[in-house]
Amino acid sequence: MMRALAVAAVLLTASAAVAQTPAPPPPMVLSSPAFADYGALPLKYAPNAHAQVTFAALSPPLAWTNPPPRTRALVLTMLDLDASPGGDPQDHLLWLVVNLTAVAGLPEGVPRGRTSMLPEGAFQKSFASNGYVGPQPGADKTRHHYEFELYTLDQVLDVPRDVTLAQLKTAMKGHETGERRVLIVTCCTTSR
Amino acid sequence: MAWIGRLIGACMALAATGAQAIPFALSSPAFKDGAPIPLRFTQTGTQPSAALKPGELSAAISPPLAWSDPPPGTKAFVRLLRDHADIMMWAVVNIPGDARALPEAIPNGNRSARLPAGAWHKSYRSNGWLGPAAGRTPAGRRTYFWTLYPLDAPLALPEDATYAEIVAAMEGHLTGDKAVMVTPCCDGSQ
Repeated sequence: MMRALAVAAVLLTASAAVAQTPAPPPPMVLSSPAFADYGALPLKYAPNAHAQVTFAALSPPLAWTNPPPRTRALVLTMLDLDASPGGDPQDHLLWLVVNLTAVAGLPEGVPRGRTSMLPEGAFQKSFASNGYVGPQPGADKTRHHYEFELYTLDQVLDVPRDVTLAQLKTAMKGHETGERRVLIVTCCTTSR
Repeated sequence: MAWIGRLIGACMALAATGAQAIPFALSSPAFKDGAPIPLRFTQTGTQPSAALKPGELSAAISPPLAWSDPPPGTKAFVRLLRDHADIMMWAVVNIPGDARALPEAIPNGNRSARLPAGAWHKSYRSNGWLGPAAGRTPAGRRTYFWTLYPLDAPLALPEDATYAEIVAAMEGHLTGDKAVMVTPCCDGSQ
């Protein structure tokens, strides 16, 4: 009887310990309904891949889940990883959306400039425009790698609308609530 | 005046497109661009790398790499590997311009015959290859960025230069676009 009680007590303690350990939060995931991670960016999001024809390129849809606790704002960047460093570091900034609050994604086709498709207080730019510009001329001949990055921050940033990538990284320093999420695509030699 | 040079360059590039320039490309015989890094190159799949003496091999061996068709005028290469926290996982600096590959398993330190003549290598905390130490689950996966920069001259840098110093020293010395591979690790690594 005593032994049975002791065993029951041990079992109860063990189950209580299990119940007390908070399940680790599921990791944040950045994805797109339009392409796979390490997949090819569809050509409709790359109208400038052969020649610069538009500053109103169709932006790709993106979605994210489970931002870390304490996250109050997000910053999205899209970089061309194959563009050479040197000269203007903005050269490879193909999209930047600052101060995304209370949204779990971006729909396809965010128009450039001020738009109700972005939350209040958010703004966007690229190296060449006030919106998504996409892969640059030459990507139709040589496959480039593009990186979407999602930074999670504990505060809304107070940065000007013409903020540079370097200024932005300085402003974000110390305010990230977790490791940034990354989504890699290539374009455009194998894109459809 | 710089724009005139750019215009001339653009015209020459247009003239050259008839010959269909072959892009400068980086690859590895051991894994594909976009595919997980095999476990034998990782700390995750072997063991955490301890402090190494020059000439020693870490349990994780350095991967073989190859490249082709560098831009004309290339006299040297710099190979960088960073993870997505911008940690320098591997730098191989001053690879001679006529080299087209790095063999696998380059030992720690800069005196190995497996390292091309004149080149030196390091990571953020060693004198050689360290290897990724990312998780084997989707949650623990990290992204690794491989770049090969074609340069008009070797860099005049000390062998303990930092990532930022190496990148800054290359400014204005590229002979063309860099070659890039991006690979995840270690979710799905074999």
